[in-house]
Amino acid sequence: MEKLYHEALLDLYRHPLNKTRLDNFNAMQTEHNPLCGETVEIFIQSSPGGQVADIGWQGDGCALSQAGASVATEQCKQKSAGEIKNLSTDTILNLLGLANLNPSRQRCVGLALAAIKNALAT
Amino acid sequence: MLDASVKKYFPIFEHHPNLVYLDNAATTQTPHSVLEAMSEYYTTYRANTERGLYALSEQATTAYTAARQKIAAFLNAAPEEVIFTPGATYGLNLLARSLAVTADHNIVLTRLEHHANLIPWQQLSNRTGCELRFIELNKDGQLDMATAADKIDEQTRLVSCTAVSNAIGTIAPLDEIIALAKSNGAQVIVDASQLIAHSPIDVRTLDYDWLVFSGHKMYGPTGIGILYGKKQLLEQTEPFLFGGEMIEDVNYLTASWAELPHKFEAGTQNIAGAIGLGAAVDFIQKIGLSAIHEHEQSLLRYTIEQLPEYAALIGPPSGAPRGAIVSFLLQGVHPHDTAEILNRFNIAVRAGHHCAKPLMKYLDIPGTARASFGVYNRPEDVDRLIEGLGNVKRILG
Repeated sequence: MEKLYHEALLDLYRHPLNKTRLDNFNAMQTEHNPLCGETVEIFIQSSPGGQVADIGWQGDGCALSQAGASVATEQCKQKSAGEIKNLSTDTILNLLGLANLNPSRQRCVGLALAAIKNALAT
Repeated sequence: MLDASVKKYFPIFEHHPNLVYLDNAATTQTPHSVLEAMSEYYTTYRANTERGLYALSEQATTAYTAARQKIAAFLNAAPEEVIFTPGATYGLNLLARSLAVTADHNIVLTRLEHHANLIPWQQLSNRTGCELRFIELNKDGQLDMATAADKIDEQTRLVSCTAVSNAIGTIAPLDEIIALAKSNGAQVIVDASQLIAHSPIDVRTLDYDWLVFSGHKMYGPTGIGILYGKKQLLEQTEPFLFGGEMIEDVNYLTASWAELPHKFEAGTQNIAGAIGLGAAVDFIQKIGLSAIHEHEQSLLRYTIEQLPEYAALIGPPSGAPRGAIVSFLLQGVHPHDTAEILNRFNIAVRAGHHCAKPLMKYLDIPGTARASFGVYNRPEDVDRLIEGLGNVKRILG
């Protein structure tokens, strides 16, 4: 039962990574999850070579969305838009040990990654 | 308190004996009698209504008409004032499409409204230029009637308001709202979705103009609901959908409308749903709405008494009147996580914004966890909920 809320996930929930609003950014995106009303804002500063040099996020939500945003932003650092395109919600779910999460909660985990992809696509 | 045997009427609990179902504000479970009434139609007299001259069609028409009569009697309305719809959302959209509103008018809503009683009016405002106004809430989550008196004026065409907030349980003072609206010449629309299965409604006592509700929140099937309209108003109102069975006469270029209620029931209706809804009314009347009200209010009081100190009650404070809904937030825990962990203990509650996202923003909260009651709930369900909250706290707190 408590596998979903395992220690590593709870640690990311209590101490999220990269949860900051960047002072300087050249891409920004807000994404909503209509199911629960969560909103995630993503800020990206790209390097001249097109890699993600710095990334931050803001937003309040459930433990899964907070952990998902932490892992997604970590995974995207120093990656190009092309490399990030290949990341999927499954990547984040696997990294969080949540491969069997039900579909409605998968949206919570994938919200930040969707915002990052949309930020880089615009 | 209702007898524990009420649970036996509901087959869901045979399939899930350990289920604590506390999401009745979203949808209620279906009793055997409703399922049997619908199954009887499908298996023994299925035919279209109002149009066949053969025995089965007449039998189907009789059953469909009888369902309408039962619902009319339940509301103290006349049968021609009772329109079958797919649900409350449809009823509200019908009114927003059909009532005559101009740019000079304003429409008054409350801060409590479900999206279904907000977005149709936003769209109407976009089409016509009419102004939308909102009755504010006070710090106790109750409608601030001083602001109602400010907002409702002679230019108010409609006041559309929920009877009970689906999100936080607030009960609207409908008597005051209706009186205020009438004194300004405005019509009143009441969304009774969260009242219909919990308290008696008499459309004549309070002089309702319009009332909408959904069958699936009153032990009936999904996809069926009711729009009640005062006869004179229904007669003045243009239909919203056009097609079969809603016409009196038609030629290639023009058509005229059938008598009430058929004018508003274009196309083949949800016949089994209507028959099921009639059976749901029979079920509610067999248990008795006063007994249901007392049962649910007693569960409500018990829940609020038992709520742990780390749970904040949202909406009306403890002891204040509320519908059969307890909305709460656990300190430091997102409501989604609360619901997820409760689910692991077989406890079904709703979490999130409850289709009232602007209200959550207005209250400055991310959403709530919500327990809502029905006839089959027992004090033991509340005990399981409270124990479940302890587990949420242990895991996430």
